[in-house]
Amino acid sequence: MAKTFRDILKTKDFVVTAEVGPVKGSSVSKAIEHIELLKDKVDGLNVTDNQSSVMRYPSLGVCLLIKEHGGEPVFQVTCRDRNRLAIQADLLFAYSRGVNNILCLTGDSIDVGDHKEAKQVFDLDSVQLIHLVHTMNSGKDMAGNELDGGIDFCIGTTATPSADPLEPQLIKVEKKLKGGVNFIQTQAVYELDDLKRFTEFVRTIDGGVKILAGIVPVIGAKMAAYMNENVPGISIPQRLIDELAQAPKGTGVAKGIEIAARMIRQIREEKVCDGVHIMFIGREERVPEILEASGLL
Amino acid sequence: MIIAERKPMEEIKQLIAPYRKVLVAGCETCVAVCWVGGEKEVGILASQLRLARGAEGSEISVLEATVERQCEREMVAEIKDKVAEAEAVISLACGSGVQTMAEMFEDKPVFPGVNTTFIGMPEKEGLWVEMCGACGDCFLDRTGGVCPIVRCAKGLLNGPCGGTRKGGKCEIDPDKDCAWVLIYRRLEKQGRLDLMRKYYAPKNYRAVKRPGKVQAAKA
Amino acid sequence: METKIGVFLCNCGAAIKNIDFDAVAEEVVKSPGIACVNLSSDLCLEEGRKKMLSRIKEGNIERVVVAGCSPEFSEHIFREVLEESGVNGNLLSMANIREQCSWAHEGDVTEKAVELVKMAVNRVRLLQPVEKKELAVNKEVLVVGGGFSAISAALQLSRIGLRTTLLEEEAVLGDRPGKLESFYGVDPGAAIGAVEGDRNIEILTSAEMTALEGKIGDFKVGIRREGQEVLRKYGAIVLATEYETELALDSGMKSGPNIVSQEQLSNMLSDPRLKTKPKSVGFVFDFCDENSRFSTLATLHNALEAKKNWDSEIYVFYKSLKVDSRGVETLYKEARDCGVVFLKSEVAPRISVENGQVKIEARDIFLGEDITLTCDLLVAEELRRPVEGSERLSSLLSVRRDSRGFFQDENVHLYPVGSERKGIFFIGGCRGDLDLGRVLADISSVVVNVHELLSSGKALVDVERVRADPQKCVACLTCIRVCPHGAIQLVRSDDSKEVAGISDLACYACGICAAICPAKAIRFKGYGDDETLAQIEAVKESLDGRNMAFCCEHSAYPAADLAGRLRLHYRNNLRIIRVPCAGQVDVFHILKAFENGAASVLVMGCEEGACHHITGNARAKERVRYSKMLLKEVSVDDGRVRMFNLSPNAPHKFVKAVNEIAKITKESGR
Repeated sequence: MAKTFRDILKTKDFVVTAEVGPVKGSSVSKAIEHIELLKDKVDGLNVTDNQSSVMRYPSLGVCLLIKEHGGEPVFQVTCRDRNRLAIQADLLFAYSRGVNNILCLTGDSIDVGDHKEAKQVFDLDSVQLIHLVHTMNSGKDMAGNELDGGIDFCIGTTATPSADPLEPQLIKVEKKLKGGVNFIQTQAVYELDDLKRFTEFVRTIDGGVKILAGIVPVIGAKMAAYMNENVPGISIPQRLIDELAQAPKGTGVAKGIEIAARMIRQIREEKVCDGVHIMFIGREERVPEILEASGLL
Repeated sequence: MIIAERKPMEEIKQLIAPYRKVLVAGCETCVAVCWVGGEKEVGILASQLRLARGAEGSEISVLEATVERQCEREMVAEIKDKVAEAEAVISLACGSGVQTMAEMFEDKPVFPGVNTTFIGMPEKEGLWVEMCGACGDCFLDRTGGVCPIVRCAKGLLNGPCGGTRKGGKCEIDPDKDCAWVLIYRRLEKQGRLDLMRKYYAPKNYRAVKRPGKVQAAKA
Repeated sequence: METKIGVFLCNCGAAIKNIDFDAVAEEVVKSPGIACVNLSSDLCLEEGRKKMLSRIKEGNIERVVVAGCSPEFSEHIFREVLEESGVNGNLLSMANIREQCSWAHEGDVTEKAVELVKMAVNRVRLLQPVEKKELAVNKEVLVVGGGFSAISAALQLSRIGLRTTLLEEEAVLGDRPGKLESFYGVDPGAAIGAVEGDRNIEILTSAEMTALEGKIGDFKVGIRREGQEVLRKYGAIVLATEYETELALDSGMKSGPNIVSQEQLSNMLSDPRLKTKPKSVGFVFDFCDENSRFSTLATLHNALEAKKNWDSEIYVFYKSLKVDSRGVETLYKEARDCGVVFLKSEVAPRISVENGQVKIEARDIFLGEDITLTCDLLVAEELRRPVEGSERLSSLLSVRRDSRGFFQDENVHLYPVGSERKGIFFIGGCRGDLDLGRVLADISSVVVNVHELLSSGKALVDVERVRADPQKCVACLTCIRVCPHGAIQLVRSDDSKEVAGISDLACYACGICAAICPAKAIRFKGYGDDETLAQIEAVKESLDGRNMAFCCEHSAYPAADLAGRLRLHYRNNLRIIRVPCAGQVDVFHILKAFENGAASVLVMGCEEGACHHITGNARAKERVRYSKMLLKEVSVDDGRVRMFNLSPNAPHKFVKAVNEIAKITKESGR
């Protein structure tokens, strides 16, 4: 694996990334299992950062493991738990150990997690974080001081193509693009038209940024309905819910994978965007099935 | 104005458990307006405390007093006789009032009877909502008059986050509006969406160094 | 120096036999400040009143307690006696020892009688005089609307000498054809001509109301006309806008050449160039809307016209024929005699269009059969809707609309033409139903009301019966928002502070504002916290085990009286405090009752939706709920405070409520 993620983005036709979710504890065996399973099958491997505001083994820790095992990590950084000093320090550390890809996120609020009385930091937001990385990439810290040993991150961020209302989100996306990003990994999309509309919009501002569509397999009609109601930015069309409802009992996961694979093939055939980002947290061992079914292996 | 909420009765009862003569002191400014600490509420709490002790089978003497503004030493001084009579004081004023009372009567335990919550306004009769975070670096000119520091759950300056719910509601509470959607609609009405398209650098969180101090320029 | 209180006991022509009046007098005279205690048997009659008058004068009595029949019956009589003797009529407190004591319980009730008198004595000590004053009022009237009702009202108001302004949004006055006048043979032109020629009436067409401030006798109205805004002043406002109609058709059907409204039919009937006369016409009405007097009139009139002009076959489908308006029964007979066919069914007919004709299918009640008729033309049922702009008007005037969006609250206390604000009235179509008889009655009503209020140019008011103390008012705006009668505004006090100002003229003395004021700044003479507390404390020693009931004077209090008159007995451990509205009862009062040892507290007000003060009983309900929460917090059984709703003619309900609460208390204990 000689090519860096940055290079792959520039040269490969259809980029595929996946996600590894750390566990709550100091045990790293599971993470290593998933890394070994996926590192050679995908172009980059994201590691979540206290996802859903639940305290877990740090993203940077698993990124280092990926590096040790020969994979390309994407370091997810949220703004919820650390202030600008801590974030800058972490970036210096990450870079010094060979982690050079970062995904800039705002982060879920404390209320959805398991430490509901913690103080939310949000010293920065995702746009400010993108600007910060650029500043440090250019050799200075946020206060304008010269760095003794700089960094050079490939910068990515998220977006929500199915948001409602959409316009305020697009204004935010525009700000992120103007701040300068190499790639976007979107939230889960289930409606191709939403994705097409989003990609068109992005292209009017930045022709070079790579867009990876978020793919999250839905494994049951009830789950789909729940997600539609409760998860912001998710819009699963009725026809997919019906398809899931008709799947025989016990085949939910397989059906979800089938639908996900179908979507990936469609995106690839119609060249809607530059790749996909597959999120199957808790079922990382089934990601290869998705890759196979979509013809990516 | 300052909005407060009465503390749970259990907490108040525990605070005054060792005492047999207490004073409930109200304030006729912010807490009176938000129905929590004016003369009427003082009377209601006093009644409740007497009933509570009665139900437990013990005695209590509850005195009542109200100050026009509990954060003014001169006004607090007006009730000094009643304070002297009591063993402890429950103040229904905001934190500022409680501390003024505590400072004026250092020998008496002064307990807060309410939790001061935020600076806000009535959305409608009986319903108060937070409006201002007293951050010391007002941003309202750039957001069409909607504060992103306290009305956005994450205090973002370049919002919205990806968590906005359908119809423009906040990620953490479907009953609350996403402040950035409100900002978007307000600026759109005024034809000033360019303000929302600008990049805003990270906030100066040290604009007010706690404990805050403001010296008037004149006098 | 203590105030001198005169206590007058009456045994109602010796009819009250279960009270030992001597014992009562003995007890009562022990209270401080009692100047004299007198027993009479005919206090409300001329002899009794004369004696009372002289006693007051002789003894320099300053306050009076009368213990006898219900104040609902005789309070005004005794107020007059006081006034005659030089004492302010408000310094009177009554103890209801007849309907709510002697007649309500079995056996000897002397103990309760003593307590009721003590309650009245405690209260009277704290009463304050209320003076009367004449206020100047603006005598001009604003009539909003330009149709038949508005025009007729303006003419009548002018006739009694009041200058009136007609405010109409359209460019011309008058209803559209097909409305009221054509059916009654009233010439609209004549009325409009009369109005135009009347010097007391100002006509403002193409004009609309943009703002309203102030109160009865002193309304300030913003009017926009031809791009200009002016501020005008009026003493009273009469809303006389009409309503709109839409065809009541199933979804999918719409009006067309075959399905028309009454108005369209009227046009067809008067159109000389009509090419084809329909050979058969069907009418459908009265199925969706119970208040169909006007549609009955319109249908019968138009059916007859169609028969006469076109000689077509006419079929009228109806549910019930309401002929109780003027002239309608005659019309019905005429229509039948002419050959119009009437078909009655329970359920609305099914209507469909086939081959350019309208098919009507219905089940005829008398035949007991399903019938199908095809007609060339169908005059469909019309639903009445509030006119566009009603929401805006209601917000400008600060009045509520009823559940259908019309301007007559379904609250019986406001019938026929009142609103919840003094000086604002509704007549005619804006109330939702229309026929000539009703409109004329509405107009008469309004004219009488407005005449009473404004004609003398002065109004007699109680001065500051309810008053917000500017020293204590924190301008929280709660009372302003909460007053159901729009009687409170922000004003500047003497030292330029912004405070709540209660209008003596617009105030209904319900006390809802006083109860909700968080700073206890509102003083309601006679019903303040002090007076209430004094009555509770009067029975403190014996309150243990007693039930305290706050009874609204529009509902529970008269119901209790009626229970007494019917000799419906209930347990005699109930002590009643009379309140002007259940909404005047505050959480504070309820807690004080418990603090002083009451076993239970009842709050009794008008039936839901029928509160004399619109929102009072809803507020009371909310406060009872909140009280329950506060009691639970201090481990007091929250079942001991209850809210009851009843109407004044429901004595059995009153007794049932009292017995229920007695049960609860017995079981839960203290």
